[in-house]
Amino acid sequence: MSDKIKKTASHKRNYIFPLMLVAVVLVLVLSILFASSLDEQLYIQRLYSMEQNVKKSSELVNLSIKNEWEKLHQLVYTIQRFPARSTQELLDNLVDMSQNSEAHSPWTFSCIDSGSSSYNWEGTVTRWPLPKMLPTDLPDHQIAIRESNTDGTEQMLFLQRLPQPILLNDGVTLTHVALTIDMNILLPELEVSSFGAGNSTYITKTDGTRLYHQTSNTEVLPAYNVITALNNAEFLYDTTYEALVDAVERQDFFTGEILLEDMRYFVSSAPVAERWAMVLFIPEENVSGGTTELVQKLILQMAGIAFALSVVLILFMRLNARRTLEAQQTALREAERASRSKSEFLSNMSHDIRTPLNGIMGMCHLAIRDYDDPSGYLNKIDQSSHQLMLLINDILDMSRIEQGKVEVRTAPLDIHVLLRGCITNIEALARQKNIEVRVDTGGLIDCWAESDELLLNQILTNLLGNAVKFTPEKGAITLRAAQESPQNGVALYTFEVRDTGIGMSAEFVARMFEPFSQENSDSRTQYKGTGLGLSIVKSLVEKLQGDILVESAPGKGSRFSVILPMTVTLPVQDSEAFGELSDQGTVTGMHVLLAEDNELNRLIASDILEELGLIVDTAADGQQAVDRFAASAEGQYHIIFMDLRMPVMDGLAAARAIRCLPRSDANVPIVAMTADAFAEDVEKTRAAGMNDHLAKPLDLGRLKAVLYKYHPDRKRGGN
Amino acid sequence: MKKTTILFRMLTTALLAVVLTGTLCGCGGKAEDHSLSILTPNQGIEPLLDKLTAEDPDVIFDVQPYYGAAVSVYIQERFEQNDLPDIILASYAPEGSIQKETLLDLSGYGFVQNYKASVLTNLSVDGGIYMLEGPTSARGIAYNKTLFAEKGWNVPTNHEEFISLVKNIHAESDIMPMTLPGVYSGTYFTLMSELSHCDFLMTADGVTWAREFAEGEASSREGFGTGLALLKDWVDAGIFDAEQTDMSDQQGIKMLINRECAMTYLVGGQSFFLGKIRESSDEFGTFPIYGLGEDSEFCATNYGLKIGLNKRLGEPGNEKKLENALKLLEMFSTEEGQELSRSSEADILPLVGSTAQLPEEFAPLNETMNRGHAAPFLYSGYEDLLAITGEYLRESVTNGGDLDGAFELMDSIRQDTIKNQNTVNTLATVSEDLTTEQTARLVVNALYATGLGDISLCTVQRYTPGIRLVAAANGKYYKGDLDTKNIDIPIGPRYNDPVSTRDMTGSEIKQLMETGLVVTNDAGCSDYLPFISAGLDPEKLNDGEIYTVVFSPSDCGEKSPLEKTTVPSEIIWKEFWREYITGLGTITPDCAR
Repeated sequence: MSDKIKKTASHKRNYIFPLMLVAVVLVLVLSILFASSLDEQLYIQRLYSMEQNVKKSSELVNLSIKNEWEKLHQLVYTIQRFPARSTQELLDNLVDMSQNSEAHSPWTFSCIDSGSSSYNWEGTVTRWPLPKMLPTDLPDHQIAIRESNTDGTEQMLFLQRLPQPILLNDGVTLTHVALTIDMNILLPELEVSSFGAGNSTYITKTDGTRLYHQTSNTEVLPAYNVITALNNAEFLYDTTYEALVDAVERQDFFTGEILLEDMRYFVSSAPVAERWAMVLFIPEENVSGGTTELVQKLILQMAGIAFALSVVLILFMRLNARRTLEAQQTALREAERASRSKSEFLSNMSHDIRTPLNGIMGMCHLAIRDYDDPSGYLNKIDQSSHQLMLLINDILDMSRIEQGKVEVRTAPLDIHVLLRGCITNIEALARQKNIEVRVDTGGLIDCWAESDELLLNQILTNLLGNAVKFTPEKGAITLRAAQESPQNGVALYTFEVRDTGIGMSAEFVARMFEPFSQENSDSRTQYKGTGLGLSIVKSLVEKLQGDILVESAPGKGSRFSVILPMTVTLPVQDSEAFGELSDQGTVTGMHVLLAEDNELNRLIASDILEELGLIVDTAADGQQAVDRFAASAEGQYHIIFMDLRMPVMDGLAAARAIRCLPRSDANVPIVAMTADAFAEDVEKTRAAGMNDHLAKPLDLGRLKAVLYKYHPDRKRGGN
Repeated sequence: MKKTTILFRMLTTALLAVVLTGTLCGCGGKAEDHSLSILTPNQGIEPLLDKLTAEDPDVIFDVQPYYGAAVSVYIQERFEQNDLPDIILASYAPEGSIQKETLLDLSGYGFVQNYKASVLTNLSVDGGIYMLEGPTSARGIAYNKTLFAEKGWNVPTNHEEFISLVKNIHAESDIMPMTLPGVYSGTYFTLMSELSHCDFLMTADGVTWAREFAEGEASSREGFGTGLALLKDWVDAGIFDAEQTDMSDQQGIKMLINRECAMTYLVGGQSFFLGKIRESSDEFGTFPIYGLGEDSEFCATNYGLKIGLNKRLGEPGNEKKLENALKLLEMFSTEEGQELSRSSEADILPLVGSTAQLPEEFAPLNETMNRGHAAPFLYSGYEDLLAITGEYLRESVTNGGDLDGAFELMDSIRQDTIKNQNTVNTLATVSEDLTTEQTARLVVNALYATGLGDISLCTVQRYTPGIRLVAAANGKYYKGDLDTKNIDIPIGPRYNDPVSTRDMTGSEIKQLMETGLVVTNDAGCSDYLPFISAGLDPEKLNDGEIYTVVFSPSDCGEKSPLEKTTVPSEIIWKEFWREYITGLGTITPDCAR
């Protein structure tokens, strides 16, 4: 593989890996973002659920507390409605109340006097252990949690100052009443069963001091101050420790999620009683109810799908890239092959150019050496020159085609004349090889049609030339023309060249129309050519909107079929028909002005013209030509051969100048002689006032034809 | 070489470099000191410290004992100066704002929940817990049950019966009705306070009064009136005696055991009491303080050992020290830990669900407490009154003074406290904080200043594990005024004893300087306290020459090798010390040269 291809492949590999990396990272980032978003949404939902639960729980706790107050109020009403007169009677009344209440009542009732003595409904008198609750500047209703002096169980104490102190006869003044109940009895509502086990519920003061924890549950924060203990927790999402502290202090609601000792909890606080807070901890897994796992699975699956899609996309891109690469590599190989073909062509061409040149030079040398009988050598030189000319013509034609400078000039043509002209082009060579050439026009209906005769001629001449070239001696070549019935004035004409030549392999047939392609190298030494002919033929056929088909097999000859759509037309009288090239009249006596800046070419042309019996005057440049013509007598010159590319004044300018001369023979025929043989060049010469065009190197036959055409006698009607 | 290979090698090299650098950085350099400094007023914490260090040798304690003459005052000074070690042991809890400022909030730790709610309520400062409490003991009156039975004396159930009992004892025997630790002036104040708690101070009005009195908006007469009235009854019954003014807890208990008295006011020394009664064939019992009326008994509980952590342990960089300190607190907060801190079976553990049983002798006190007739020893809030009022009361009850004069005194002191003008008691001024060494030098200089000898020697306090050795010089002075409360901080106990002297040769003095004061206890445990000197330079003494050496009474107590070899002088150490300091006027580091 060439360095270029390797570099291309390497470049491709370099792009693929980063692309894959980017794709993976993108998938990961998107997954994470999605997970975060989903997590947050779920968190919001769970938060709402927790808020509702804690509100419900606090309502139930407050309701329980309210019920106990109601109970106490009932007892207050009773002792006030039926006041005792003495402490003994008070105690008796309390005992009666105790006995009248439910058996094994979880609560106890007592009255407290101004001396901090407590009269209990089991009939005992004790010292009230919490005198700090009794000052008059404290609220009338107070709740406290204390431990029992007897068994240490936690009790909730409801203390109410009597609206009116009750004065007993023995000087005792009752100032307060108290109801005490075991916490375990009072607050079963603290258990938040809706979230399963593992929850912790605390009742705290507003400074976080723990008053009560439901002992049946696992303790999340075994600390005296729940708020202080949470200082080490990590508050998640947009909640903060300070927000919780503030909510508890202000007896407001709060819900959030925390990370405490590697466990996630939802924590909620709600106000209860008048100056307390209920703080609830529920493990996050209880609240999420397994949705976290579900979400994680969902995210993993989605990430997996996204990753798979990414992989597929990347593979597709790789495949596409590979195909593109392969296409590019193919194109590159084609280009390389074309380049190699060109290189080969150049190599061959240089050989082909050098070969006739060598022949020319060699023959010249021999002619010089054997100038007594140089004719053999000169003939060889002539052959080599023709060979060289053909070579250069092919190259120029191909170049013109590749540059798109071939224009189709449609004009009515006689197909018979066309075919004859093509046969004439190869007749001599065919005769040399004893190849029979036949023409079959039996398939023609309309012999006149509109097309570019020049291009058609070139196409058929090329095919016939190849047929002659590749048909061994005593072979046969058939040129056949046929057509289908016209449709809307257009008919498909088929021009077929069949030979009994060596034929072509299927491999070559597949690429035969590619420039510089030839059958294997062995054949090229025997059958010389540029390899451009068929390529030129195909290009020209395509220019004419036609198609070319090939049938061939090695050793069995070939058949080329050119199918062209042409508009059928009526016969046209060609006033400029040359007639048979071989039947030209004499051109002697014509006075010719030859303008050619190249001395050698001027000499050659002069010699040829003088050989034909012409009188030749020469000019070295366009200005000289104009001067000489202007200085000549009117009618002196019968024809001017004007080279186009000349110093001082080029041929076109000289022709225009001559045409502008105030002379009656200013319309003398001017024929351009130039190596530029393209249609536009011809147009330029016509635009400059020139009459005709001869391509260099000069073809004697064409030269004679032109001379004959513009012979003054012919013009006068003589011939 | 491929790029990936090069990159891999570079990464490997970089990683290796990081690992090596990190390893090398770990070598050399100073090892951090994670030892915990701990201030303790007694050796009750030793068993706990020993247990912890045995279980976790990484925990190292640097014990800084203070056994001087003013334990509570000294600790209070250190709190106020915020000059505290890592762990603080105290017999009382300072004022709430000081706790919050100097100590670490422990309320967030789980071991706090091991304590009874009532204990935590008393310890709580604005929802925080800054000190934990050790075992406490109940205060009351201990009596010889056997003697009572022999004499036909009934155990009183109220104040009237108690007064009657006292009078009967006087009438029927020669023994002292009751002993009490009169050597501490505070005893008399706390007695008056407890008697006041039998009635008024345990009522709503009493609670209100306490609050108002703290703000200087109420008269002491209103709050302590009932208590003082009861005290007068005690005086009239003849409970008080001049002999009691020199008496310690242990002396009073010994007299009870020895039937030299019928009762003793059991303020401290409960463990000593239990130990002694076990040795006696008599049976003993206790009953609470009684007030007027029925169901007016009261039982105060002594302050248990308080333990707190310096706030700086919560700062970054002290994580390891905090971790070790918390280990101590966690152990302290268990029944096992409290048992180790328990001085006797009479101590009540402050923990929830404690299985520790009180001795039968203390059952009545326990019952009193269970019925709510109890409160922690009310020291906090009366620091300004305690000593001075106690002295006044001691003087009055033993010498027939006007007890009512105490009200005026208390009101005056309280007003001064409110106005922050305690000029009445300023005896001297310390110009700047002195070190322990400088303060000790003051003590030895003062001893030398008695003029009783050529050279004075006094021991300097150091930690002596396994044996309690009380030095003559303790603690340090801080910048500020010195009054009767804090002037005695540097001197050791037995300060009411006279300064002693001993003639010694130069070589003996040098030998003593070298060995220190070596003491061996009954358990055979020995340790020493180093001496410092003032006067003649010990290095320059002639070995054979006789010199008179002046010693502090703190160095000449029981178990001391100097006890029987020194001669007491006429100079009472505490009195001279105060005169000396007062005479200096302004205490500067130069005074401690």
